[in-house]
Amino acid sequence: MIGREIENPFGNDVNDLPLETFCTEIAADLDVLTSTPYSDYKKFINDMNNRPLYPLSFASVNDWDKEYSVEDIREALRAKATTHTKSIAIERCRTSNADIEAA
Amino acid sequence: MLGFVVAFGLSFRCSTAYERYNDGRKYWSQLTLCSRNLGRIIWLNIEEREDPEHPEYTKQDLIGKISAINLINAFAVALKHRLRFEPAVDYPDLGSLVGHLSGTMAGHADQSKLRHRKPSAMKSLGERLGVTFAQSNPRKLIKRAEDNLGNIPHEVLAHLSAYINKVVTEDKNMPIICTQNLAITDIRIMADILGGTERILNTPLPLAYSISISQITWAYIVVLPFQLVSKLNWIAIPATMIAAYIIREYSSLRSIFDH
Repeated sequence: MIGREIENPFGNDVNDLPLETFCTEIAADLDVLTSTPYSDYKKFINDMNNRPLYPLSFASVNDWDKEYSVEDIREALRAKATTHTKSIAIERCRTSNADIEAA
Repeated sequence: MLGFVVAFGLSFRCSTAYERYNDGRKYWSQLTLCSRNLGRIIWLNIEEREDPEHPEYTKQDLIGKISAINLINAFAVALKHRLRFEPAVDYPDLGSLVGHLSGTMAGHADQSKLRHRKPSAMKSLGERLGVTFAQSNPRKLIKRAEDNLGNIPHEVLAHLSAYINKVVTEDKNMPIICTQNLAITDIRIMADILGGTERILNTPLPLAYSISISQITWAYIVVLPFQLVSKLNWIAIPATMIAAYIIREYSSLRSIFDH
């Protein structure tokens, strides 16, 4: 009996999928999309709040553009890779070693 | 005899819940793959133009590439917050990644309504004991907000698409055509992952199943002491309590796995 009700999930029963909610969600997403013109891509890059080397540096993109050279930026990228995030593989090894030792 | 039906119902619930867990894991590993691919394409296949008439292009193209790759990172973090029903923008790991995107509707919304309020002492006690009516609604922040909170992962993807679009048509520094195709496909895959994870999150178990399963478990728990008392005498009382707790744990496993 339950199987027969669930076989068609698109009807109006209590057991069926909430299609009205799905339609409203699609409409809302499309509204959000059309609320901004994405015509000027440089705007998001040159916006004052863009911090390209976060979390190594909190400096905004204007500072990086005006005060530093391409070599400085590349060195900062190298520093970011070595200091910011440890490799997740190392942490997984550590946790699994701890499990093995505890067992 | 009732025990057989209870076992069947509970195992069904656990297996559907575990299927969702596995689906979620598959989507996130696909996101890792896709992020690596898109990052590699952006970093290697977009040139930093060296134009003697416009020497500033080199640095600007480099900063543009870094910003685009940060957006790939922002997508994953924004997806994480969205799947946990956290609609605000000023989380410590998200704020600096999407703060510069002028369009985010969640950024324009009233941020004070989007913070968790501290629960009262009785409520935290109820949540710790696992009493069902004290469980807080995980969607309550979204319910409480009045503005349209937007869809931050979706907006991040729109900015990424706009970036690829302009790099190909205006700056023209992505010359190999099949890499343009791959970049667009990767953004499409990320949108699929967004939709798929939302599907896992928002599909409820059909009401008929959850009602029938809880009816059967309660009926079993009520009948259990009468079956046990002839064999165990007074031990039946604590034994029933322990069995009831274990059976309810199994059915609540479903709500843990669902996220």
